[in-house]
Amino acid sequence: MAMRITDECVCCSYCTSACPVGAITQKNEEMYQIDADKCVECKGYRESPGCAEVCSVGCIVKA
Amino acid sequence: MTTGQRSYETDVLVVGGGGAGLASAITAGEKGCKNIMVMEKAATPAGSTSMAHDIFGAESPVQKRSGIDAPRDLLFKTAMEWAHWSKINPRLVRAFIDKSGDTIRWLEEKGVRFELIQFYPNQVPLVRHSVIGHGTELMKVLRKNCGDLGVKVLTRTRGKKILRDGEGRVTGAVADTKEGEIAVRAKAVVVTTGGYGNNKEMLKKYCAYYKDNMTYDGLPSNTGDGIAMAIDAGVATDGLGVLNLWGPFVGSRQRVAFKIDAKGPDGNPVIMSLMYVAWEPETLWVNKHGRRFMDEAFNLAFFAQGNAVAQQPEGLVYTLFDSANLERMEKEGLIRPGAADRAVWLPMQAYTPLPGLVEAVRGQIGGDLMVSDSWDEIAAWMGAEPKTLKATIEEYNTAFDLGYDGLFAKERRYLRPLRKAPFYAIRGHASICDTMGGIKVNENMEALDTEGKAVPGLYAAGVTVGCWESESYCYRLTGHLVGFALNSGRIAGENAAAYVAR
Repeated sequence: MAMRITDECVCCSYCTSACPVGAITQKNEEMYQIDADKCVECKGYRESPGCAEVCSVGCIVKA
Repeated sequence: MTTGQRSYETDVLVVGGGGAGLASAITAGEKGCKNIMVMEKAATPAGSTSMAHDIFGAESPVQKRSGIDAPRDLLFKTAMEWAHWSKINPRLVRAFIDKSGDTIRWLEEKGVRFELIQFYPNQVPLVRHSVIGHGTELMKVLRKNCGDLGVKVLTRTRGKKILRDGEGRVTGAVADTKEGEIAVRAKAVVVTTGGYGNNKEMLKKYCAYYKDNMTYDGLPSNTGDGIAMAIDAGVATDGLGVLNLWGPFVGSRQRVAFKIDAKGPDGNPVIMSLMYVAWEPETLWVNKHGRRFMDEAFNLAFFAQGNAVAQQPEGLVYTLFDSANLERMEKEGLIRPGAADRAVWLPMQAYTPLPGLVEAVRGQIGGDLMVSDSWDEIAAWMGAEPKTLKATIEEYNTAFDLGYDGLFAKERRYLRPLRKAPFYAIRGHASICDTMGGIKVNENMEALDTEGKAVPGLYAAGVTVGCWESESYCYRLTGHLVGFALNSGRIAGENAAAYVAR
């Protein structure tokens, strides 16, 4: 159970501030990444994954 | 043409696929131009517009339906007075404001929906057209319209050189892709590559007040490529070196957020940041020397404060408050809850109690937060003279007792003493929202050479151009970054299409 950032990412960094468990970091100049071991899809925190909700290009999906 | 270089041919080439770029591509298409190409450096044509929330409009259909009187003349004069009639080009500003109502119509026809929301308390007139679904949705609609019009979009394609012929006419551009260099022959080129906030060399070269500790929280792709290309091609610049700052910003681009046990209006848990606490108008702000530098409650209209922060020694400021104030924030909520943070999509309303806030804030000790029972210890952490810091606090506490801030005339209701230990200090700095200066254009978005003559076939729009805004965000024209991007983009697209048709 985890969310995943696709290669459409433009590195806006919004997802990092939405993540309640600190699972999101910058992977390289071109994209951010979600640590699948840490990600809980916001279960117990939000109704739906916050990262996908704030993503400025809509590139965060269920892994 | 060098060996192995792929080549393309088009009528209008747009360099940069953000709000300005796609607006100009779509408009050129709507004006009958058949061959249009957009090159975008990032993986998705999104640009800063995708990170925004709202767009400025005057005399728009939305305002008219809502009975809101937002006259273009008034807003034009507001913009010019804000810039002292000197820092910005009045014809450029007039063209943008005059077009803005029609651009709202244009977007509504494409399916974009708006609601008028105030940006600061009692804002008149309401000009902020908040996009339902934010910039994300706006750019999605523009991408779809590009597709419908047959605009060819190349992503991961970074423009690097504007081509001109012997008579000075623009003939296309060269770009880098992962597969190597490409050359695009074009009758007209529109440069819409955004600002250069992520280019430290350009910031150092052009901006006299740039400081190394300024963070940049926009897209990393904004490295001023189009401005550099234009300069290389003999184009003049306007207002280069002007920054749009905000602050005090706490932490880095990957901001520190923490969850607390409270729900926002959407029913989801609130995500907090030290920055929201640092912006409370009831706190006390000092610089590194322990001296107050502004009316802290002015942050109700918060962009100008970024400039005040940047002017302080080393560009550092400290928000100070006591335990009683933090307990008050926990019990009553924040007065100004992070409305400027662009991740505001996890909304939090003013005066929403924040149970657990004290403990959560204390969990952030280290880094940019210092907590101590002793002002001497806090002064040492700041690098301030303890005597100066304590005198500032004494003066501020006295202002509370008197009900009058003789120094900066801060409103009485926002004065709150610092008397209950432990005391808190949050370190902040200025952050670059975007850069403001760039390519010199006229009101037709034609790029001008150093003699002031239009370069045939070259246009520019959006934050890539200069002198449409002075050194701080004119908050009364809320949403004018995206507003200028889309309106100048449409104007550039219209004129590029007409030029190609000649």
